[in-house]
Amino acid sequence: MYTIPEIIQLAQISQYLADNDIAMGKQKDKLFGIKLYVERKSVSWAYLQDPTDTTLTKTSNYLYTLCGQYAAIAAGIAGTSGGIVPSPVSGVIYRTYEYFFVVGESGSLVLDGGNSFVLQLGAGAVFTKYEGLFQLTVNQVPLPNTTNVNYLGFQTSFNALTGDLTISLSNAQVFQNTQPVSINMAFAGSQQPIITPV
Amino acid sequence: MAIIPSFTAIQSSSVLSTLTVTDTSTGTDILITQRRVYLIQANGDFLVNSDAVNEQYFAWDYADTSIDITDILDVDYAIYVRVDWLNVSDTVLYTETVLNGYPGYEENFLYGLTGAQTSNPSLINNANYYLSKMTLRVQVDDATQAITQGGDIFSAQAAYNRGMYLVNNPQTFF
Repeated sequence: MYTIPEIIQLAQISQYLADNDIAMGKQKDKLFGIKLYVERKSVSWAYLQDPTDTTLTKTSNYLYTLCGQYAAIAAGIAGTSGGIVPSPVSGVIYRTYEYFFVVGESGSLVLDGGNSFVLQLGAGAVFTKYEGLFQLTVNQVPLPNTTNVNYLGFQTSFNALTGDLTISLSNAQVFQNTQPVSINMAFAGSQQPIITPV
Repeated sequence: MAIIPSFTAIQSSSVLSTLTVTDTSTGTDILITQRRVYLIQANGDFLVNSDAVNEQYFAWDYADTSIDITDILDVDYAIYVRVDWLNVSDTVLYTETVLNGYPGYEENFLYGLTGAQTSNPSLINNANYYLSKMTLRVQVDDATQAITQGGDIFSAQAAYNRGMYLVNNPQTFF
């Protein structure tokens, strides 16, 4: 029995798997990946609003059912070595990535009072904040990407040598316990980011 | 001693029309005696209700960490939320402005559609229904991206308005 966050993660991976199958002509429903995205976003939103919402049991089970044949494969991928998700294809591609955590809880990338965290995109990865979408949402509020230290937002710093992407809050702000944090991004690389919870 | 001004402004999940603004500033300044919250729409107008002072701002008692502004978000909005920290002479000592999006009504509607699909799974294969649902999802995502990537309140509000049109005409689109 999967938890709701686990089902959301399985749907996210299933979406990538479905899109690959669509590209290779193996999935007849050309909208299948988009449908998984639309349904997952709704369940994610409801979960962020109220994790105890009783309707989530039904809707998350529906989302899991919708994943169909991809759910088992996604579960295998999600279960590999501490959150490292191997690339389903070789070579450098633009890929999207999402991650969600609650500060101070399991899977959190930053401690209470911390100002920044690091995503390891891997050597050879390419990230530019202008070409690649990057969205940081804290406390359900999407923050702007800004270098203005007087403005509430966040900044990114990418080390092209190591592939380490550092995300820090601007204006001397810090993350606080119980804050939900989500990351949506796109970058060029051959693997999913390596996630290292604190 | 100065403060580093900051705040959060979050739409209530249980009452979508309520906006809760919370002071998350650090530091102290004994000169501060009051705060004011301004909600500025894409067209430049202040978003107000009957509690607003001079139809411009909401007075926020400095003793209170947060303020609930009720009956204010009647549709989905992109808003500049500005908080001023003032002294007893009404001089602004600190000010902070953020651009936020509040898509609660459209997100709620989308989630409601997902709930309907659990009882009627064939809905997802109805091309017209799903095209409308995807269109609504795109409007919400467009608005979020306009805010986070471009700081563009006009495009964000336009996307919310397109989405609200779908939400307000369910018999036509869903």
